[in-house]
Amino acid sequence: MNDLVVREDLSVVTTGTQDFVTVKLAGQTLGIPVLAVHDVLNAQQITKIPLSADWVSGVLNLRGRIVTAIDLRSRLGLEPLGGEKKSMSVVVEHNDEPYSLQIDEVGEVLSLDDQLFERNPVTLDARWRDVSKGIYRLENELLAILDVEKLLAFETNTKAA
Amino acid sequence: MDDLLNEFLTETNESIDVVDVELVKLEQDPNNKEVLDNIFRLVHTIKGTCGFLGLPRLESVAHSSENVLGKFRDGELQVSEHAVTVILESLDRIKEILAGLEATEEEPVGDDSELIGRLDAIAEGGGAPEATSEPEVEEDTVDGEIIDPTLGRSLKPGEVSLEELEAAFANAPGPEEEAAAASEPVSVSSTSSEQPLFERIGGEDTIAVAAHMIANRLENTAGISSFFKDVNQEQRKAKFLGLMLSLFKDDVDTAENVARQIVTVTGFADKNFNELLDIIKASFEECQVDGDTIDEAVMSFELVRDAVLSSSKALAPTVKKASSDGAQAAKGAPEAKRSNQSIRVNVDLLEDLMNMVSELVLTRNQLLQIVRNMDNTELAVPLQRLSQCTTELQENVMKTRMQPIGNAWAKLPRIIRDLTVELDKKIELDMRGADTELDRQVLELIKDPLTHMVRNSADHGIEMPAVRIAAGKPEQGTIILNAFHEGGHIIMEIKDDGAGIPVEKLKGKILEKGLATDSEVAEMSDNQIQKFIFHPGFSTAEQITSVSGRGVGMDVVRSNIEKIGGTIDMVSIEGKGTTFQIKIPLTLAIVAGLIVKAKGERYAIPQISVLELVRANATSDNKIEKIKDTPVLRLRNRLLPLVYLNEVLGFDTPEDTDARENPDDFIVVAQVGAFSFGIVVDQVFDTEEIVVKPVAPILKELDIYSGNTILGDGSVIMILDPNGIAATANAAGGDHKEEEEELEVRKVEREESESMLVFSAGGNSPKAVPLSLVARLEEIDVENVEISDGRHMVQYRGALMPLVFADSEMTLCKEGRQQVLVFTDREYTMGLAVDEILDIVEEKLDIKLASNQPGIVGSAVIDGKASEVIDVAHYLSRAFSEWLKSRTVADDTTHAAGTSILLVDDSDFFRNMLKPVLAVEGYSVKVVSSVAEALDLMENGVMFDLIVSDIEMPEMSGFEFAENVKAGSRWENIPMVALSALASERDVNRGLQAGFSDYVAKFDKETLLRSLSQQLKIRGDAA
Repeated sequence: MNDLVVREDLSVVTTGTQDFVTVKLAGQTLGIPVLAVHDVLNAQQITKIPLSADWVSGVLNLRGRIVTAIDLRSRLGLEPLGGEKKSMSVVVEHNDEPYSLQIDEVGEVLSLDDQLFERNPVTLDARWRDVSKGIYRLENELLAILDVEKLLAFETNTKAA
Repeated sequence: MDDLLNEFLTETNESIDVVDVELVKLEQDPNNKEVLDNIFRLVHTIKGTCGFLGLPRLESVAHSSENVLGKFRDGELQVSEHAVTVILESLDRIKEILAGLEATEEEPVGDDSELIGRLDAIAEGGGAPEATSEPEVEEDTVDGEIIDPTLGRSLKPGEVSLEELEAAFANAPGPEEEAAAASEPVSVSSTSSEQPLFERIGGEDTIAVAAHMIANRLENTAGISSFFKDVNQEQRKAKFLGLMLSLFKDDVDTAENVARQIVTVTGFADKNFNELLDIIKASFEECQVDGDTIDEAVMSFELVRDAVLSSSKALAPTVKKASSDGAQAAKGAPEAKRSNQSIRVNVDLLEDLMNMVSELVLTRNQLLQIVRNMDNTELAVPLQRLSQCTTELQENVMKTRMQPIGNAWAKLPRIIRDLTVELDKKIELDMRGADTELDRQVLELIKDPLTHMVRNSADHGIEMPAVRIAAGKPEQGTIILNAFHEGGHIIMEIKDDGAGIPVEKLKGKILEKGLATDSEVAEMSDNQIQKFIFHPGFSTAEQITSVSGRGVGMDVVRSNIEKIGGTIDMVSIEGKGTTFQIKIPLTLAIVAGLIVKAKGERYAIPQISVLELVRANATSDNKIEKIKDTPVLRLRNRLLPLVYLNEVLGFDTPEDTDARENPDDFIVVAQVGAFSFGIVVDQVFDTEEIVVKPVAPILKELDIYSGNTILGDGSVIMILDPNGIAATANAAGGDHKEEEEELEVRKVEREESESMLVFSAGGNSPKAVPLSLVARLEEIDVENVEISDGRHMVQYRGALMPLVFADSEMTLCKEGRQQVLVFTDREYTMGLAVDEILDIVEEKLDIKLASNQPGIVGSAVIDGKASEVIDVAHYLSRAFSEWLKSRTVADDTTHAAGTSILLVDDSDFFRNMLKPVLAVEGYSVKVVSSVAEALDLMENGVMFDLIVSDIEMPEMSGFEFAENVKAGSRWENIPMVALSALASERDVNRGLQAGFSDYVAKFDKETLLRSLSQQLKIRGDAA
């Protein structure tokens, strides 16, 4: 199974396990490679950007850097987060540009054995299939791994559109 | 990367750039010894340093080039185009290798033998065949005699020959003189020992030779050589030379400084120093300096003994770094005259500094804001001080980023030179204002577009020499680069006297590429067509040369320039040449921004595009009014088109805007190019200095934002781009796809298009009038309309205003309110009754059919419909015929009666517009549509009292016309008044320079008439 593991940005991990930060999004647990995560933030003051794509929630100030906030729910075609709950942020970088992924809740850091990895099931929703690298079989649930690069490759998306 | 290598790369790249330029100079002026020496010196330094760093490929290429250059210098070879080309090629090779070196830190693998072979062949061709095997071309007798006995071998390539020898060589060209110089000190010293040591030893030349020998001997003296091992011979020589020069000139401080850098290995003891002194002594003896002087010289070294010894002890373990620093310092020493006031700083460091200062400015602003709300004044004074320091710091840091624009031009002479060879053209590059400074970042960004444009001018613009001669132009084409400051902007002009942009050819291309339809093309002016070169994927060169014509052309240039907030404009006249004008901001980093609010979010508008702020509510003088659905504001007798920010940003629909009760709006009057409009916002805060940060790539598509920034309170806000807002507002409501494409064209052509007010009045076809002629829009209660003397009148602003019907078939409304357009002409006000005001459209005014019907200038397609453009002057004269008749007598400023005026304007509209206006004033007007026609009249001996001329006209501009007329023609003494839509200060100055007596903006009829009578008066007084 080892050959199936996507390692490109994690090649330093040679022990056969990989570390992920888990986040909750509408009940689904997602994993983000731990090395891709720059920051985890509580609810922030976000400046909205009128006329931008609806999955761009706005921009925020992270220690003097301007970070673009991506509404992950909207990006993945989920209902907006209702109620009083505020989104948390996981800051990742793509092409040297910081992005903050708005998620419901941040979980823990898991070290997972490569053996637990599976490809995306072919029946997975296309929108998810595009941004999921694959699935880890955890004891109680399944962990979809976010492909940050693909998730943030808007330039190509918008051009094609 | 290794510091040393890094240093080398930067320095060598710089040297190469200089050599590039100098070589081109040399080719034009082969006898310029100074240029040649400079080139030689630079290439030589490159070679020397390569040898030191162990870069054999670079060294061998540089070496062979140096050989050829040496032959040039010795007069053994004539400077020829071929030779220069090959040397330039070798420089390119060096650049290539350097690039590889930079990327991999290792010399890339490659074979240069072919190039070296060619270089050597050139060198051989000049005679002295041993030159290749014996690289020291400057094999003068001094070198030969002295080195052989000490070294006991011939020199390795690149080993010897220091810059100082070069200098010595240049100063003392012949061996005889050298010999004389060497023998001279002997006699001098015996007679006058008061002479400074420096003179007695024999001056710089002898010292240079001595330093050379000392350096060589050090290497071969077993006990001492290890202390100097890690410094190359070249630098060692330089150090000793510097040391001795300063010592013998009694400059002990400098000497000590240099001395500290001489030994770069620890453990240099007294014993070693004595050995060193022996070597020095021996060297001077070899140079035939007399005994006493030598002793004195050696004694003087005692002054630096301590310095040398202590430096050796204090040497840090980072020997390598120290040596490179030492090399740096020593390098400066021989050039002691050139004050060493500058240091090299990494650009990233500057960039960081800039960012930090930006943050500091923001924090300062934040503090100021807090203190402003506090009663405690204790903080105020120190904060004031802090604020001042911050401002100064910011200014100074900005200055460090300023660079002369000449840096961006450095490569151009070489490019032009290569082009002239490749294309077989003759081109002169004239660069003016190269010391104009602008921000480094901006400089980097315009470098490529600029190069591209100059290349284009040379390739497409300048014709082949034969063609030029046939066209009656000088064989050599000229490209003028000009840069200057103008109000916070840098203006850059690229002007060539080439063929201009061929309109017919472009037309074909436009059709071929389907960028416009046949009929659209037919409607376009030449200038509009020429501006298609800014369209993506356009290239007119018939053949794709290696130079240009690859289809990535002016559109890329334009988008690059627009990216940094600049604009580009072009004027091209077929057969005469093309002028590009680029306007770019001085700096991008910190700008003043006006903070405004719309729907609870704050936005910044760059202050530079804000003209003024106007508040409009129910109680103020200013009211927002609507023409159909288009909101406008009356502002000082002008109508200002408005856009609601809430609508632009998609918060509100126009219906929402209408539905508001008691609106209290702030209007930010913004200007984009020549177009001003109002942005209606909910609230205006103060101005803040903002640091512009680019938006994330995913937001790049939104052209209403030019960036974002962090405010003093830490929140992020978006910076609005008035350019984008104007474009969005224009596009709103239209068919989007087409509109967007059109917009591209429109952006460039904005100055030419005209805001037209479209209305209906009788008849079927809509009527139109330029919005700029309309003073106000009114609705008048029909009951107030009175009839007096058979005319409709209405009391308006305390006076009687005649009402004229826009169409004879039209009647007054039966009841309610009558829509009226108010026109003012000097003190006269006229109301034009219309049925309904339809719309305001931005349109290029192109009058198709002239009309015989009075009151109609002609028909034009406006907003896709045929509309009649009315002649305001006609209605004015109808309303005021009686008054006007009486006025010619009464009005003493008017000398109009019987005065003849020549009006030159290429636009049908203006000719038709102005002729009646002038005629009404009593002038007899002759109208022509081009300068050529006007000049014909001049040839035929027709005389006028006044000339009124448009500026932008095809074929020959108004400026040229004036220059022609004023250059001793028979119209020389006729006052000329320029009439133009471009009425910036610069244009006015240019007009006055060209010979115009006055410069009036188009549409400003009052000023025109005043100016005309003034000119007549001046002339009358003079006569």
